[in-house]
Amino acid sequence: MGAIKGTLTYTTYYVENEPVEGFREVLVQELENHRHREIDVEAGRDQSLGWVVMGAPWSREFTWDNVFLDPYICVSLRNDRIRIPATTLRAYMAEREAILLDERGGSSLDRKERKVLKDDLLMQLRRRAIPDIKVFDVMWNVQEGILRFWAQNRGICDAFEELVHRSWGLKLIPQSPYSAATRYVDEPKVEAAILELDPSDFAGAEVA
Amino acid sequence: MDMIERLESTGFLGKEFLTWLWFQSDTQSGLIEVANGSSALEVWFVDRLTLSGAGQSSSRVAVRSEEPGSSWEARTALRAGKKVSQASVRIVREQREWSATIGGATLALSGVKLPAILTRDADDQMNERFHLLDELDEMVRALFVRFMSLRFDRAGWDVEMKKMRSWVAEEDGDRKD
Repeated sequence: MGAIKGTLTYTTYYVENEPVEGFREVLVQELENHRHREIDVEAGRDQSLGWVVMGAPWSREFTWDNVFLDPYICVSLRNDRIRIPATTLRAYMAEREAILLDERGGSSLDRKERKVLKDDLLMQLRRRAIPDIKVFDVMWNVQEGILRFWAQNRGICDAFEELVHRSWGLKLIPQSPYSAATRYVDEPKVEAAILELDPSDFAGAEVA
Repeated sequence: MDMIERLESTGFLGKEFLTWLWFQSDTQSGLIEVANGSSALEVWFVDRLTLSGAGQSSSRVAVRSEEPGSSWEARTALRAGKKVSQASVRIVREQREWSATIGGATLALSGVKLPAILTRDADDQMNERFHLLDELDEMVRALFVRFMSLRFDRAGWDVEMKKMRSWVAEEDGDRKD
């Protein structure tokens, strides 16, 4: 479920950088630069990750008006991926190997022949495959410096953090007890003080 | 110490926070003060409660029921030294109700349900939805800040620990329902 309807599951980040002057134009331009593109199968790719308009995952036409809902920047990350199941690939490979051996004789293929055959087969299967499309909403409260990303899977979160950095040079700090405490708790030298805390024993006997 | 080490060495505070929140909710009939002068929040533990020990590979106890905090399994796990690693909560403020599952490791919220949206225009509805989400985050943050402020106050935390230990030690027959 995304930001717009249904139940909500997301990862919270704190944005370290303040928006710079001219940020509005830079933001839209960088969305455009890192927009989602169709998977380029001919270039050997099986995945494409990039920005789309929130609520319109087919649209890459960004304007300030369709990304800014005061005080939020709202966009979506689209991740297209073509997956060829291993069992399918194995079955086709066995068939191709048998045909090739039948044509040229011999009992087995060498490593190089097998690689050429596999690359060619993968390309053919990818051309025929329908990509799996996943869209993850992003909501950045510019005033508060809080950004929410509608996923909790580590892999997609890592890819998202990297794309945010490439797009806008932003450093995202994932929410955690440490980052929340150091950001919000009014305690002298909180960054050092929190590291000195030891776990409490509520039961009188810690367990492993 | 790099950031990853800092996060890992303080990760236990998330579980302590959720356990403290359960204690507060259980002993204050759900009402928890978050800051001087602001209205109290109602926090109820509902549906699902997961407790685990200190180690990464330690055994977990997951309880699913209408009031998981009252279950024998959860109370026994607590007495055995486990802490809350994930909790589903219902939070009520000014007659509006949110529900969410809070993860102890990152304080991440999942399965969030918001109060009813009152505006009609699509843009306004989205804005209201986002503001309700901000409000939930602020409430959870305020609870966490209250916990951490107490945690940094050595004398105050010692007093709280004594109360929590008495609460943990209560057998089912001792508990007031």
